[in-house]
Amino acid sequence: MNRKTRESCKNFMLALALTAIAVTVLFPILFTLSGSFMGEEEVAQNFGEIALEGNYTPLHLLPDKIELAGYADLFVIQPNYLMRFWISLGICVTITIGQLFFSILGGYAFSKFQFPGRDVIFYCIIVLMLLPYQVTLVPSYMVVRALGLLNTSYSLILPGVFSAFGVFLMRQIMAAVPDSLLESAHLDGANSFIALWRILVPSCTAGIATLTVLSFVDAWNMVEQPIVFIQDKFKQPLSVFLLAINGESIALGFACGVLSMIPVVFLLVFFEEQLVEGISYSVLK
Amino acid sequence: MKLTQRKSLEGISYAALPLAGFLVFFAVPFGISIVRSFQSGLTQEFVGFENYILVAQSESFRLAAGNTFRFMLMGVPSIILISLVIALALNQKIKGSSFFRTIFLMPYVIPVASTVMVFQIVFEQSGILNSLFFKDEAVDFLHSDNAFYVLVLLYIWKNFGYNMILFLTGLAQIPQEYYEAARVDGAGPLRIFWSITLPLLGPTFFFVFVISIVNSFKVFREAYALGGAYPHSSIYMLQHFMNNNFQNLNYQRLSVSSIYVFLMIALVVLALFLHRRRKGDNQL
Repeated sequence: MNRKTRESCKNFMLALALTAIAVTVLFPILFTLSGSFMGEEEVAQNFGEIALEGNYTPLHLLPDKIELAGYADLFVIQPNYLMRFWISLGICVTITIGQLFFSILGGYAFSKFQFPGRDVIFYCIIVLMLLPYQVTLVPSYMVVRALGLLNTSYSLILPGVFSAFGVFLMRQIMAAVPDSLLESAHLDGANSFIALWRILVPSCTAGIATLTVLSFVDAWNMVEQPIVFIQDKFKQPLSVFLLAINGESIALGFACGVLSMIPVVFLLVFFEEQLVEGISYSVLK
Repeated sequence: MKLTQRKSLEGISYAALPLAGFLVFFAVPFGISIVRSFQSGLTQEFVGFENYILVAQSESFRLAAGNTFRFMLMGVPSIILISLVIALALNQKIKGSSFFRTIFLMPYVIPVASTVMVFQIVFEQSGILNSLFFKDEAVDFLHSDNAFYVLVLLYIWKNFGYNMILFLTGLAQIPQEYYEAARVDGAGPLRIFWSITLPLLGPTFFFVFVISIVNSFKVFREAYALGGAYPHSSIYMLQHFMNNNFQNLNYQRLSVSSIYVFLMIALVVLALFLHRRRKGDNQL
């Protein structure tokens, strides 16, 4: 065997292995998608309570007959799930825009200016970025409660717009943009605020796309904050509200699961290139 | 006013808004909770480390902290190994690598709640896994010690894609000339991996390690989705413990447990800092 065939043989095996992993990784997602097109009866028969003791759930992958009962339930019969979707979308878009704004300001300050205590403060921001919710939730709860915002969407939005990771990422990305670019704007008479939005921001689009995707994903997936800040089940965002369907209806659960994946999968597919580039700036060496 | 002074004032004013947010929503109340952690819940009297000792002695905190540690011990090395192997495979410049990257990142972006039903259908007592392999001796994966391993699996499934991207970044920064030189010298692929790839990936490794520890705290979401507020004891995590204390608003216990987690993360960050210092690198 010569080197070339050996190489292509190796690549084939590699592609095969990766495909096998990809199928495994996608299984829960595709299963949900496929389940959402099964009729109420088909779902109940295969995955429902009927599978009592002694009976096992069969490996039933594809719908026998494509039905839209789950979606009909979701869009027409029980519109509160769809309403939760729009409300959650509103909350997450607000958080994302807020995070972008504050992170761009912070990133600008820490990358392009010198001021006393800058590096120490930046170290503190790195530490804050690494703290899990088990640390940050207690302080935020105290403030949200003091402001009387418990049980409202603001309890999620207000602490949510300040992201240490966002400031950190924007600082890393902006530091990679040469200062000379800003200096030339300065010579043209632009002040630093105009230079930020006209020169700096347009030259870090990959980073901004990354922060948009990551902060939206983070907000869309939140669980810890809503279950602590919001007691009323009917005020929960979709990421928590969805968990409640589990027991109610499997067909609806599948359809709702698909609905909740759409925004984030859409973002991932469209911004994959930028995301990979942007994440690379986040590596602390 | 001098130009440098003006510049530094401008810098401070840009930093002010986000910093005010961190101060109001984190730093100041965290300071208050440190004070409270040394006070008695009823009388506000100074009680020293009593609350710390009480929390450390409590059954449920020990269970939660123990599970969280055990989880890290098992989950972090596994996920690092798996994501490294997959990153190495994707780094071979095969066709469709961006397609695979997108697929591997998918579990990271979708909410837990969207697929939790599938995991229940697969792992429950009458579930698909039992139906395929263990019909004679059905195992209740979600309500036994096995729940812990299911959780490790879900953690790897969800987070390996992000780690893989971090590793791919590290791999891309290794100069190609090193590989070519090694090949000219007749080094085999294994030798190249040990002598070039692995040492040069060092900084990335450390970062992936830290991120994996941070992400392992988020696995509460999966545990909560599978088992609710009171799951099987093997997947009772720190956040479960804290939620119970939020219910009856025990600020002392809440403060103490969040300070314990803070200290743990601070230790990891300190190690990161010292590691960097040892390498004589003060740059970020």
